Amino acid sequence: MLTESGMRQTSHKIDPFGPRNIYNSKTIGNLTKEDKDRILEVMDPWYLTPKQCARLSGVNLMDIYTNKYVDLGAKNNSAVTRMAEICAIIYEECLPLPPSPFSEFLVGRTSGMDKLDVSFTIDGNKGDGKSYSSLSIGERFGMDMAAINGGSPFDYFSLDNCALLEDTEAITRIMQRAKKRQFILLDDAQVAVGNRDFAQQKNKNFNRILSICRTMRWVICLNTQLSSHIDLGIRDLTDFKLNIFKPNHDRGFNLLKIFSSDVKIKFNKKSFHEKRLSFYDKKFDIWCAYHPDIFAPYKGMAEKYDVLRDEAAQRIISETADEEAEMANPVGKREKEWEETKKKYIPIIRKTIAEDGKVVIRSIVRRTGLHPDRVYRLLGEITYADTKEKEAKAT
Amino acid sequence: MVAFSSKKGFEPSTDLSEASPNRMFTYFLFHRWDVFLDAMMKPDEVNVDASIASLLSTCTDKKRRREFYDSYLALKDELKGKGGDQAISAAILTSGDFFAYVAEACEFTEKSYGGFC
Repeated sequence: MLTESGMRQTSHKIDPFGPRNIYNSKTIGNLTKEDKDRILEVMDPWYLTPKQCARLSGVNLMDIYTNKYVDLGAKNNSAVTRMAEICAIIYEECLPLPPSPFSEFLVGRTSGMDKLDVSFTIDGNKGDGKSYSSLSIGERFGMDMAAINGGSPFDYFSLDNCALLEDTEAITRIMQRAKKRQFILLDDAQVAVGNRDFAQQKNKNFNRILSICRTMRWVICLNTQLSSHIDLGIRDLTDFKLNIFKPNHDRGFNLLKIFSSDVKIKFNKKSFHEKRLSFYDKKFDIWCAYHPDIFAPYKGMAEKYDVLRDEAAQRIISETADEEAEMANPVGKREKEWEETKKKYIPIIRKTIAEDGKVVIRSIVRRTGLHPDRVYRLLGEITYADTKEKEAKAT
Repeated sequence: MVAFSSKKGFEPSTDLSEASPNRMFTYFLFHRWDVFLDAMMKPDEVNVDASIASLLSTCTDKKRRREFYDSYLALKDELKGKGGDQAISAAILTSGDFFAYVAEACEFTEKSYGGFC
């Protein structure tokens, strides 16, 4: 921001989560005058710091809005720095968001004539911002979908569509609830469909959903630390692989790489080809995913998401602790089984004794199919119960 | 792998036929440029006009080929009276322009693009 004397203010602070316009391919032609002026103001060499100017190295911010992509020059390490600087300027200076080719591709694919769906994985190290990036992608999808096809962004993506550390049963329940053309986020998908659970019924079921239910036109996002943690059968069916390339949490965005995973079978050999996504005849190397709170309708969703995730983590921890305790000393399970046996067989034994007029073990064994030892134990339980009842009556 | 060195040219032992047409054309151009620059070092022995014309003949775009030659002639006229051998200077500068065009056309430098999710 320039002062009256024309010098740059050193300590200007703009709220990055303040109001800003979000454009798509249709609306970018109507870039408002305020937005144009703001972009031109930011591009002024007096406005940016010398370091920022050096990093931008002649990239015109206005071109980003008209072209819908950033021309980063020669493909080298500086290109990444340039991209990071541009993303940071857009975020920090609260500039309008340019159209997203990726999001519009998802919208086109899920709402086009052909009955297609999309599924992709996002992988990255712990704390790199996989969840926030996927939330951001989902939110942008919801907004673009609403802008292009009408309705509210929440019709296409909301917290109800997020499965946090859920098992397959819970995920299928979410999918059962989900309507057509929605963005479904499966956070930490390896919990539900991990490669360790290979060929288990739950993985087979999920695979079936993924392969057959394309007519539901969902965008399914599978979050995991390593994409190899997800069952191979499910991984093979995904269309893209997103990778958190450079996290920039302090500057409000993450840099991602997106590859389309293409599986080819030639001479009975399966080979994978990872290609960069290309739009407008350009191969895109780097993608930017902003903080999810940048999208005004979804403001605060990240916070709620964090709370839900904490709860889910607590649930997983307690479930795991119970399982471990049960495995170490399986008393609970045995007692439960014994209670069920008593409930089922004691009435039959009583009936048999009443019919025979006395206790005939062979007759009870024949009727119940139980081992004689168990029958003796059950008889003991009956005697104990009867004694207790008599005592209670006497008192 | 096609091995090329500025002194020896293409190594006879390598199999050029295995290379892709693009790669073959690229090596051919480098070789022609190498020969051209060698010739420019011996201006008394060679015809400069013919040398630059032979180099520009490798330009696949007819229109651009002619434009490059015209720019060479214009540059030669422009440099007259500024000392040195105008023909050689103009030829070398034009060859530089030609190779800038070739680098762009053959996409020697891969460009990078970024997008927003």
